[in-house]
Amino acid sequence: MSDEPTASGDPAAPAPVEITIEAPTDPAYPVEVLLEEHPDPPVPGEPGTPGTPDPAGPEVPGTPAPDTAPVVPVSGGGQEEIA
Amino acid sequence: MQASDDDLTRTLRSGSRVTAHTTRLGGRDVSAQVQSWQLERSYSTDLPDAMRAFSGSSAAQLQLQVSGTGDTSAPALYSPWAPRSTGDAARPGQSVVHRYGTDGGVLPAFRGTLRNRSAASGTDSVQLTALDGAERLRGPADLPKPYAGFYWRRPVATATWCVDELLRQAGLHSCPPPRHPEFDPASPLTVVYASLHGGFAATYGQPEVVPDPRHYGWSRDGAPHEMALVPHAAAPDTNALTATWFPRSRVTVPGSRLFAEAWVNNAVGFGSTVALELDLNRTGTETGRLRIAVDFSTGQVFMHSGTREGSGWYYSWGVSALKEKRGVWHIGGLFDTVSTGTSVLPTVQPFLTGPDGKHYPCGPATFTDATAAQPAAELYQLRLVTQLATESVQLSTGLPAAPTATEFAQTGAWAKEVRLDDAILPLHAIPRVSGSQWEVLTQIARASMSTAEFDERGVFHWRNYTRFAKPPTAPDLTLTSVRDIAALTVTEEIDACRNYCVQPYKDWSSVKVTSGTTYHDTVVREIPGNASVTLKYVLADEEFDIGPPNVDDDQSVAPGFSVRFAAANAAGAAAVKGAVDILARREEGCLVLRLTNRTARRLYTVDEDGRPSVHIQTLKPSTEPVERQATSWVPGSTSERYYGRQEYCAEAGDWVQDYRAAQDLADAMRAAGQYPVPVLGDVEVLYDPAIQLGDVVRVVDTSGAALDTLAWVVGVKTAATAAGTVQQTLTLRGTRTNGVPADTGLTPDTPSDREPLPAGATYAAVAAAHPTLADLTATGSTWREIKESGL
Repeated sequence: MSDEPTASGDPAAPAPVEITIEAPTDPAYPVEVLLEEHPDPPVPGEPGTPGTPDPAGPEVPGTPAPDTAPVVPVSGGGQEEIA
Repeated sequence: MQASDDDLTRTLRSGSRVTAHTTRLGGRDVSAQVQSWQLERSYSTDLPDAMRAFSGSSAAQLQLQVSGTGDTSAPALYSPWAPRSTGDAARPGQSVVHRYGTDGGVLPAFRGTLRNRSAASGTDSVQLTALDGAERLRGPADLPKPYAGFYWRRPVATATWCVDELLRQAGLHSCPPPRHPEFDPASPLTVVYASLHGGFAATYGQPEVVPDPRHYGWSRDGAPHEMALVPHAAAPDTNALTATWFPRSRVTVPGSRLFAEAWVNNAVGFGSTVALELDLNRTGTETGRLRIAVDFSTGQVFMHSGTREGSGWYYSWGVSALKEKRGVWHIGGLFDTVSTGTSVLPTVQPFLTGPDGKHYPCGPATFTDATAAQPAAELYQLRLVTQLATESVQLSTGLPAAPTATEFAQTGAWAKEVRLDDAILPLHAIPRVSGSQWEVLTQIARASMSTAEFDERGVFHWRNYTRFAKPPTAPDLTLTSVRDIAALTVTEEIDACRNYCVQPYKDWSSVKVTSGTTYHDTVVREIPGNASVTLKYVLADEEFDIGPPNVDDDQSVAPGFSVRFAAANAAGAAAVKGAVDILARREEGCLVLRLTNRTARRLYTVDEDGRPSVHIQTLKPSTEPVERQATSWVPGSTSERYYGRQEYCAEAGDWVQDYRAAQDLADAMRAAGQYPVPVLGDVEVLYDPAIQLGDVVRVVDTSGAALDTLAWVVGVKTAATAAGTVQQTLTLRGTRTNGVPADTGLTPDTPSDREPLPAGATYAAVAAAHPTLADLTATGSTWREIKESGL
C-alpha cells in the first residue's frame, strides 16, 4: 500500500458509483469504501421556514387550543444575556 | 399487593372463593376454552434460597390447556398445522394476557407471549406455555464504551444506567425515547440522547465532559419521569453544573435545523436556571454558540446566537408561568440554520410545556444583528449547563419544520414500562457484554444483589438490595393457619449463613488515559457533490468508542482525530469548512464513518501537504484496573460464636469498580446472611389474586410450627386444575431470624471428642513382662501391639 495520494482523475467526469472491498491486512486501512450519490441535495426542507404554525395550536392569538397558552411573542433582545 | 376494587376486596375478606379468570390469545378472548392453567413466578439466583429476596431475575411462566369450540377440537384449531385463521391465535410469539380473581372481579396476572404449543391428536386439548416480558429482551445486548470515565477519572455511568439502556434497546422506555433513533439519509436523526438515568453515557453520541461526582447526585425523587441528574453545587469558577456530549453526527452549519430539549424540575436543584448550548467548530480557534436558557426566577427564556467567546445577540420571551409553576417543565429550542449561503442568521424558537401539561408556544424570531451570524462550521458538542434536576436530554437534526405541540410532547410515541431503583455501582468504564439483553440484566442483578422482573401488567421492575435490607414492620397481608394456610414447611440451613463476606472489585482510581490504535487513511477520498462516502474500519471489540472526527482548517488542527476537506486534490488547496456531515457509528466490529457532502462541489479528504487527511485515534486505559476486595466481617461476632465463620466471596466481575460500592455490597450480604433466615417453602394459602412477588406477609401458624413472623414473598405458584378450584402456593423468606440463639439449658458438645483415649500398656507393665530387651525382641511384636495390648 502506498502512502501517496491517488490521482484524482478528471473532476468534471461523472462520479463513479461503486463498492470497493479492500483486504483488511492493515487495520489502519478501511475494509470497505462505499460511495453513494444522492438523487437530491440532502439539505432538509426549504430555508427560512421555521416556526411553522402548530396545527394543534391556535390560529389566532388569544384563542388558544385546550392546554395551550396564547403564543408568546419575543419580549426583548440584546447583546448581553441575563441568564 | 395489587390494588383491587371494593367488590373484589370484599369477597377476598369474606374468605369465600368463587374463582374466575379471563384469558386472551392474540387479543381474542378464549376464557371459556381454558381447561386448566398454572402460573409460576419466582426469583432465579445462584445464591442460597434464603438470599432469593435480595438477588435474581424472575421470568413468569404461564401454562394453559385449551379446548376446542363447538364441534372442532383444539388440535384442529390450534395445532401448528391448523389453518392460520384459527392457529395464529396460538402461534409462538403470540400475545397472551391472563387475569384471575373471584366472582367479585379479576386482576392482572400475566402478560407475555407464547413460547410453545403442543397438540395431541385424538384429544380435545392443546398445551400452551407462555413467558412474560422477559421474552422481549432476547435481542443482543450492546452497551456503549465511552472513554470519558477513565479520561476524567470520574464515573461515567452506573449499573442502573446500563439496565435502563438495555431495556431501551428492547423498546421498553422509562422516559421519552430518542425522537429519531434510526439513521436514514433522508430522515431526521437524533444525534445526542442522554437519559441521565444514573449516568452521562449516551444512547447516541458520547459524553465528553463529565462533572465531578461531588457536585451532583442521581435522584428518583422529583425526577420528571424516572431518574434525574440533580446538581448539588456548581463546578469551580462556574455557576452551574456542566456536562457535554459529542454528537454521533457532526452536522454542518449553515444547513441544519437543530432541536435541543430536556426535562427539568424547577423545584429540585440549587438554583433556577438551565441551559442547552450547541458548540460549533468554526474556522480557526473561535467556537460558535447556539443557546437556549431558561431562568425560572425571572420567568424568561433566552435564545442566543454568537460565539462562546462572548459576541452575539439574544432574544428573550417572558412566560410568567415559569416563575409561578413549580414542577416538571419540558423545554426545547429550535435552531434553524437552513441556508444556502456561507453564513446564516439563525431563526430560533423556544418550546415550553408546564407541570400541568399546558403548552406555551413561543413565536419564532430571526436574528438580524451581524454578531449573531453563524459562518460555516460543524456541530462540535452539546452542552448542558444546569442548576436544576434534569432528565432526558436530546438533540435532533434534519427536522422538516418546527415540531407541533403533539410532536414536542412525543404524545403516543411511547409508554412508560420501566421502573428503576436508585442508581448503584458507579462505573468508570462500561463492561463489555455479550448474550441477550435478559442475560446481561440477570448478570447485573447478580453482581449488584438486585432483582429484575416483569409484573402482572407487563411493567419491568428493577429493585436494588436496599429495598430488602430494611426490615419491614407492617405486612401487606396476613396468613393464618386458622383460615388461610393449608400447609406449611419451614426450613433453616447453615448454607444460608454468611458472616464473612468478600466483594471483589476493579479499582479504576489509578487508571489514566493513553492513545490506542491510530488509523491513517492511505487514500485521498473523493466526495462528489451531494454524495456520501462511507469508510468502514475494523475496530476491535475492546476498543473504546470514537466519535466523528473534527474538521480541520488551515488555522487550527485537532491532533489525532480529524479530517480536512478541500475542493482540490492537491497540496496547498484551501480547507473547506461546514460542507460535510460526518457520521460515526459502530456496528458489527467496525467503525463506520459516513462523509456526506452537502454542497454541489466535489471535495477531497486531503491535508495541506496533499496527503490523505482522515486521521482517527482511539483512546484506551493506561493500564488494567487493579482487582481488590472489600470485606465485611466482625471478629468474634455473635453470628461467628454460634455458627462459626462462614465465608462468602462474590463472583469477581467488571460491574463493581468502586471501593464504597463493594463495601456496601459486602455489608448488605453480611446483614442479610449473618443469621440463617428461615425459608417457608410451599406455603399453601387460600387463593388471593392480589399477592405479588416482593410482598410482605405476616405468617401466623398456631397449629403447626408455632410461628408469627413477617416474610417476603419470593415465589408464587397458582394453578387451576379443575373448574372452580384454584390452588396457590407461596415460597417465603423470613424478614428476620427468630432472635439470636440462646442455647438455654444446652451445653453443646465440643467439635472434637476430648475424652482421653485408653492409655494402653505402661512402661512398667511391659518391663515386668519382658525383663530384657532381648526378651521383648524375641516376641516379634510391633510397637503398636506392645503399646495397645500390653504384651
